[in-house]
Amino acid sequence: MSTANHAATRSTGSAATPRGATRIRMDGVRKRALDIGRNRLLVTGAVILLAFGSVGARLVDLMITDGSTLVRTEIVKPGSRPVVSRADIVDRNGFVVATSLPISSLYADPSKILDASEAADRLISVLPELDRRVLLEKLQLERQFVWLKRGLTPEEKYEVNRLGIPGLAFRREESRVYPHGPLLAHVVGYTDTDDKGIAGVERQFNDALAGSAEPLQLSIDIRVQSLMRDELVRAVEEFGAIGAAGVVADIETGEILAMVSLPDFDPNIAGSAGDESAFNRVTKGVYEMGSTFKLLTAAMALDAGVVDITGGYDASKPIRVARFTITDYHPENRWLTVPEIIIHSSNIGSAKMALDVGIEGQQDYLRRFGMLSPADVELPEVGAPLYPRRWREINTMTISFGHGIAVSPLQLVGGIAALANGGVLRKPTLLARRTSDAQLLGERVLKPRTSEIMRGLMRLVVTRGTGRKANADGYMVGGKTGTADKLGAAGYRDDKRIASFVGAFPIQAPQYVVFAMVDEPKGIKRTFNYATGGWVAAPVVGNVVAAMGPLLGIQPTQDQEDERPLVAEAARFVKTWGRDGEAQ
Amino acid sequence: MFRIATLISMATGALLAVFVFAIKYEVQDLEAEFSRLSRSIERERQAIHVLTAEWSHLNEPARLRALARDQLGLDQISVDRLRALDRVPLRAVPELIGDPEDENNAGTALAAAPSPTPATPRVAAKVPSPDDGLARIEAALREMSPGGPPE
Repeated sequence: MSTANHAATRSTGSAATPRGATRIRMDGVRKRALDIGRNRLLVTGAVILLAFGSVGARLVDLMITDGSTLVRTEIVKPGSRPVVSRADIVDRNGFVVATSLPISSLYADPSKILDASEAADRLISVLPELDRRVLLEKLQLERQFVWLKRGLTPEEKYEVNRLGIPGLAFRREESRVYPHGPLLAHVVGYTDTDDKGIAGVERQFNDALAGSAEPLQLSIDIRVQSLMRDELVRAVEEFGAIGAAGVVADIETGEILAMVSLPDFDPNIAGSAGDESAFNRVTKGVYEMGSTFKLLTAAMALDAGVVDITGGYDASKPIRVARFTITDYHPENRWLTVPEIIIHSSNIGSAKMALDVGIEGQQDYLRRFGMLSPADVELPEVGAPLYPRRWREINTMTISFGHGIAVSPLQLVGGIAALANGGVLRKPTLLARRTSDAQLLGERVLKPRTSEIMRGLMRLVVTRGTGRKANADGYMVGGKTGTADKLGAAGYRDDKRIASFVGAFPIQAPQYVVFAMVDEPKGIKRTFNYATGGWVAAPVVGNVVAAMGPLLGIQPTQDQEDERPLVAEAARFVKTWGRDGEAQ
Repeated sequence: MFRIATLISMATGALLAVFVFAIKYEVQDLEAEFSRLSRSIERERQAIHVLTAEWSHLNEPARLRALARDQLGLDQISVDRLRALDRVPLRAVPELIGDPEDENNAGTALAAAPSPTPATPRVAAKVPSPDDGLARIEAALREMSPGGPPE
């Protein structure tokens, strides 16, 4: 309608002659008024349309599409993220040995506290362990945040909430918990207050643990670990020792089932790890192992072919080299066969055997056994072995019976495992491993035949030599005792020693290697004042084997008949048998 | 004509609106339920996590050993109590008294023992013997034993 009007007006205007100029002016005025009115109408209409349109759109938005601009409660898909931020550590059977648990920590916003003095009084009434003066100072700080107490129990949290003091609030935190306390202190290690691993596996695998939800599975079996720890604790108490170490490892895979170092600490209690107790004797400590090294010496001599099982050495007289004299603890004073050297633990025989192997031969074999390089295991605390830089004949002789070289117990365990398992050295590991992987990682260091002879000798040490207390009926332990005097400021001391036993079982087809070491045991009446490997460490191994055998379902053997093929040959060359526990 | 079409379309529109609103509210309820369940699952997961830790703590070997010793009178198993299965002397199968028919049935019972078919109860009902269960166990044991049936 307005368009028609407009067109009419226009046509009137254009058709007008100059004669009707006033008319045109009047037309112009009307037209302007009309235009203004129409424009205003249009604008108003548009605005109203826009307003209604947007209201309508919002209505549709709210009702049909449920208003994307409205803040919806965040829905966490269940299971989409881990419960805690640091992964668990579990043993080989899946028992949790380290986990993070959510805890509540109490903090205050002092700017919102109305009456600091009253708030402090009321807080003390439910948290009596807080110091009022310190608390009051904190509540009066010119800040918006101050910690009052970390890690409240649910009961404490409830009580604080019940007080209803404004300005107090809780923050969810995580704290690392070790359900088994000191049992695995040196293996698992611990974390600092910021959940960063600072020792043991926690440190070694810190990044993996922090960035994953998958639990880390160790090779440790807490049952075996507990057996070993109990036995060592008993030995330390009985013999007044300053410390002890123990290892149980799978001989075929290198998996460590138990690793105990005493004294230990409770990783749950921050700061409980002192210098002495935090020290891992199994991996970090290196010790002169003493007679257990004779097994290595015999193995290298037999393997290199410098002597065979029928051969022997004259051990009738002490060896004098320069200012050293090498004597036997219980001298037989006669010619000894190789089996006799092991059974009587003859230093003289071992020294002569090592000389036959030669300095380079000995170094080469020790290197192969892993005695000259630090144990390669998944722990940050690993000690390097100590051995002479200039390796002379006298060194070769003393090293043959375990003096003048210091290795970590884990190194020795690895070497003895290779000796007993058919001659293959495998990397020890703290992680659960499949048998198939381990097969690839082995490195042959001895002939299978040498290993077989060594197993026979190890068995004889336990049945008729110095290691009788390591015997466990039905499980055929074989091994070797060791007693080494500790090096003091003025040479070797005969009142401070390290007693150890290393063995494998069941010796006719070994499955596990077991090691126990007691540091500075003192002789007691029951042991006739002896504090040797045979009296102190061998019973530990015997008891551990007797308990873990049935636990791990190892088929018991008929000792007498099953061991005959293994030991018969060596036994033919033994004239006299060792005394129980006495020799080194 | 025009009015009928208008009425129909208006009715349809109204119906659709009601339908849409009904769906919308249903979805809202479901979402609320979902979020409630999700939260409760999260809570349960946390609880499980904590309980796993407690379970591990309660399974501490030294504690279990002490409990087994003090409460149950159990001690470490000694090796002379362990025997391989083939060295275990098994008790002889109880002899079944009766006519050949019973013998037949006994044979069926043994043969049918491992199968869960309803044939077994019928046979068992015919030979009511307290040794029936034992016989089945013995049959299963003989199955496992490589040494063959004992005398």
